[in-house]
Amino acid sequence: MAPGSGLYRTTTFRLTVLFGAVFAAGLVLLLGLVYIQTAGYLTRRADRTLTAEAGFLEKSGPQNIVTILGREAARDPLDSFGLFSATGDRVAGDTRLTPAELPPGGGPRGIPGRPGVAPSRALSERLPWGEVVIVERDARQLTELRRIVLGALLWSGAVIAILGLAAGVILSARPLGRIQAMRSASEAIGAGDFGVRLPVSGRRDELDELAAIANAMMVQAERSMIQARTVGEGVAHELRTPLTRLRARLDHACQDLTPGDPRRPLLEQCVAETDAVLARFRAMLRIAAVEARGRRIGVGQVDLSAIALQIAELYEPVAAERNTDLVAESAPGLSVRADGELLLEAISNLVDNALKFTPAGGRVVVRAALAGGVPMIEVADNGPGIAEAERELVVKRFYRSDRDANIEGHGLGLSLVAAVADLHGFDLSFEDARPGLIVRIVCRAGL
Amino acid sequence: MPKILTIEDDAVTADEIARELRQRGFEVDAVADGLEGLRLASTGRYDAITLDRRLPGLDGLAIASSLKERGIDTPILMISALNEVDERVRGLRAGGDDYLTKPFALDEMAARVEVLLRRRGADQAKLVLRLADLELDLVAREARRDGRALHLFPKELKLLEYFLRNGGQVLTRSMIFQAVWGYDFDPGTNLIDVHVRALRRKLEGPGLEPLLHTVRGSGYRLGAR
Repeated sequence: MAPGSGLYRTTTFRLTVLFGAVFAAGLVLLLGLVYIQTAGYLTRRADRTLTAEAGFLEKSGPQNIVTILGREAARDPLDSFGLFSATGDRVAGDTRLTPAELPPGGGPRGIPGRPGVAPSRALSERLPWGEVVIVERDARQLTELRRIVLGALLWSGAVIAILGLAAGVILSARPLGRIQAMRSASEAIGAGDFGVRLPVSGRRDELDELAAIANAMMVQAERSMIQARTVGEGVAHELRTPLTRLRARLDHACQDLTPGDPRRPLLEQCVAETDAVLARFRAMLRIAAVEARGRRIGVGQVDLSAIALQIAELYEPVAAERNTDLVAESAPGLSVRADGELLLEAISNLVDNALKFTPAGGRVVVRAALAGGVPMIEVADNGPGIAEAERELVVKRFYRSDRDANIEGHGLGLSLVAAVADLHGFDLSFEDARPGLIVRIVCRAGL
Repeated sequence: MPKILTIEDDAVTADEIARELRQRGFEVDAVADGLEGLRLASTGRYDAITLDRRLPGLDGLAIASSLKERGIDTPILMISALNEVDERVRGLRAGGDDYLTKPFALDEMAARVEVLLRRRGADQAKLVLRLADLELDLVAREARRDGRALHLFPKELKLLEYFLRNGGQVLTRSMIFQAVWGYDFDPGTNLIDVHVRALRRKLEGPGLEPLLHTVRGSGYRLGAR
């Protein structure tokens, strides 16, 4: 998601825009009210003038009305007059209106403007002696007024819109930045780093409050996770000492029996079983120790090809006994930054697994190579492989597939491999070798 | 009779170590305090020391390094409850000669002490090792049994050398893995057994006395009878 599109969704931005809109509506109302009031007042004033003038003319006589009309017209350039005979013919005056258009006795009326002619208010009145007088007053100020008000609305509207948007963007940028920081933190937590906390700005605003709540939750979650994880390790650790003593006693009891004693095989079996439990505990604690190392890892330059060759040499007699081919295929000079001994241990686990699961006559390959320019080391076999659905599960502690039933092991080997890969930031993946399984560690430069 | 000094603050463990070693014919002095341990060890009267990593008074690592500084070369078996991956390296670097993690099987501990004692007495520079009719020439890198040349791979030569240098001594699987391969992890499945079996196949033959014996529950021993 682009940060720009997120900006318009922030509360701050929306609020700012909403406030801008409310303010603009208020402004429209205010200016509209001013316009209506002012226009009404101006109209009323024009109408009063018209009525007064008409009354004044009414009171003059038929003899001097033409003179008075001329004088009045000269006095106020806004006014124009017209005197018409009873039959409607113009007697004097310069108004463009006629009694036919404006019948007498209708009170003041608005006359719309035409191109080149301003709008006006006009009053038509029949004089006591039968003639008709029309008084007209220029109303262009009303049009002016409307123009001014509309202009003010337009300009202030534009300014408010721009200012509002700008304020919205500026005010939203900071919370958005904080949310971005929170998102990075959450992603880190999601990726398994439970020590990370959401950033708190210290301004004690609602974002801080939310972050504080989430952080408190994280503390709880981390505590229970550690408890859940360490409870097993604690048990393993505590039980190892008594089990070691139990094993020693069983062993001594076994030694004390004469070689032919029928109870001897039973005791030997007990010792072997105890050894298996101890091996399982050792593996658990080993994984815990690897996981607990975190960043305190003894990294150095490690030659993947050398590891492939060493492992193949180490397991060659095992492969020979199982009548399986064990081959190392390696390109020289594949150097990665890693903890050599841990990586060796991980690969030895993979080879051990592969040899266990590949039937006699099979083939196991330890291969170090470049995959898309990145060094990787993989162990491939042509055994039964792992079903797609099980690939997620096999790295879980103690997970044993149905096919494992007849094969010795404690289901912790791949967990250790996963822990080692994780520690280095390397990718662990499973692939179908058709037939068989490829377990691959891609050594991206993580450290 | 070899004299062993056990510096261990846990009374139960100290008692177990002492009893096991006495049973095997050693004379054992046990102390619980680090400073007292250092004082006794500095006398140079002992043939080997078992040294706990965590001690009151003075830390195990500090004891090991100050003993080496004083020129006391009594072999030291470091014993630690720390299941840390790099703890072994630190222990050995500080002057420990071998390293063991708690909890341990007592016979494993005793086997390691015996190997340390033997290493002290034996001539490490010896280049031809012999046991009964078995002979290993380290210069020519050749092994012979009853005058017949054995064709051994380099790792098998190394394994045989380790057995010959500790002839008659029980060697556990983890001791073998550490000494011959230099690795310190659980190699899973019977890896060491397979290697030893392969060596044994080349060593033994019809009419020859078996030399490489399996010690049930512990490990292996090379020796006549």
